[in-house]
Amino acid sequence: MINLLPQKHKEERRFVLFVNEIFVGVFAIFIFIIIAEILFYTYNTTLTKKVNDASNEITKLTTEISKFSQIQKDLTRVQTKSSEMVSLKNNPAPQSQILAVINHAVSDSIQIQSISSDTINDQLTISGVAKSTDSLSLMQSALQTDEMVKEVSLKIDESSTSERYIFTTIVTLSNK
Amino acid sequence: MKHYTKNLIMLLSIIALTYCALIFFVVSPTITGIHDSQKKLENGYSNISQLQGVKTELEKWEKNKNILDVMVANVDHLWPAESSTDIFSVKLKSAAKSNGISISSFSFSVPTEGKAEYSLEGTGSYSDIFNFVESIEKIDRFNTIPLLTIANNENQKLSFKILGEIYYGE
Repeated sequence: MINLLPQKHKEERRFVLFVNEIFVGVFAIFIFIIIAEILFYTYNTTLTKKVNDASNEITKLTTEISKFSQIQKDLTRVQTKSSEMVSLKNNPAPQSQILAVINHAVSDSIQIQSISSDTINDQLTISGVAKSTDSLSLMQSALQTDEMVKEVSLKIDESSTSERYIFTTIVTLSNK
Repeated sequence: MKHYTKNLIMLLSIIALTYCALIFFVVSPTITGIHDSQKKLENGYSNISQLQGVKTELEKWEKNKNILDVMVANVDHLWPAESSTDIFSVKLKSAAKSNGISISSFSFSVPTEGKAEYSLEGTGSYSDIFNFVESIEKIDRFNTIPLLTIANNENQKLSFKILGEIYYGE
């Protein structure tokens, strides 16, 4: 069919169609925003309800736990004191274990003059007289092999003779 | 036509601004709210799980209360609330006697800050001292021996000094 409308009218009509299309698009965007907001709002409401339920559950559990306050107090005391005792007893080691290590390391050819065992400073000092340097080396290596010993230092006094070695051994104990 | 186009652009600009405002003031807070709620819910579930664990553990201990009572009694015995040193002193002297140790001096300092320190001097052979120290460590009142010195006095007996500690308090 031949369009007999003047050119101006044709353009106006096309423009109106174009505007209509734009408004349909704009309206679609609006609907999309509204639907998205409704979905987000619904989801947020559900989450808020879940958060409230969780908060109520926490309050309920806290109330139930508070009924066991005496048991909690007893358990805390037992746990705290037990760990304190283990820590105090094993840092670095009980004195009887240290004496047992000395007993094992010192041979008959060594005469002990003094022993000082200080578990606060993790230090054990042994001084005495040895008949030979070999016996001192054996003592040193025996001490070094023990797991509670960190370091052994041996000093031989200058006044020692070939048959009488005056020594001082300083043992650093390892603090677990 | 130009007049219409100008009006249309203005109208579309207003609509666009309205949409931006709608997104900024309505949709965006909702999304932020979702994000916050998700975080709160995550923390809440974590707390619930933790509290349920604590509750289960406490319920178990309530069922085994007799065992817990024995444990508490043992701790109270080893580490009493009061600073009394009398029973420990008696047990220490008894241990010395049974191990052939001769005590030359024994004294307790005034208990402070949850512990009472004692000083003990005496004489004995190496094995006697070893057994005595072992006996002290086995006394049913928790104690430690921070310092032990042993000296050879050129006679048969060795002299020794012990600086020990016993503990008390909650």
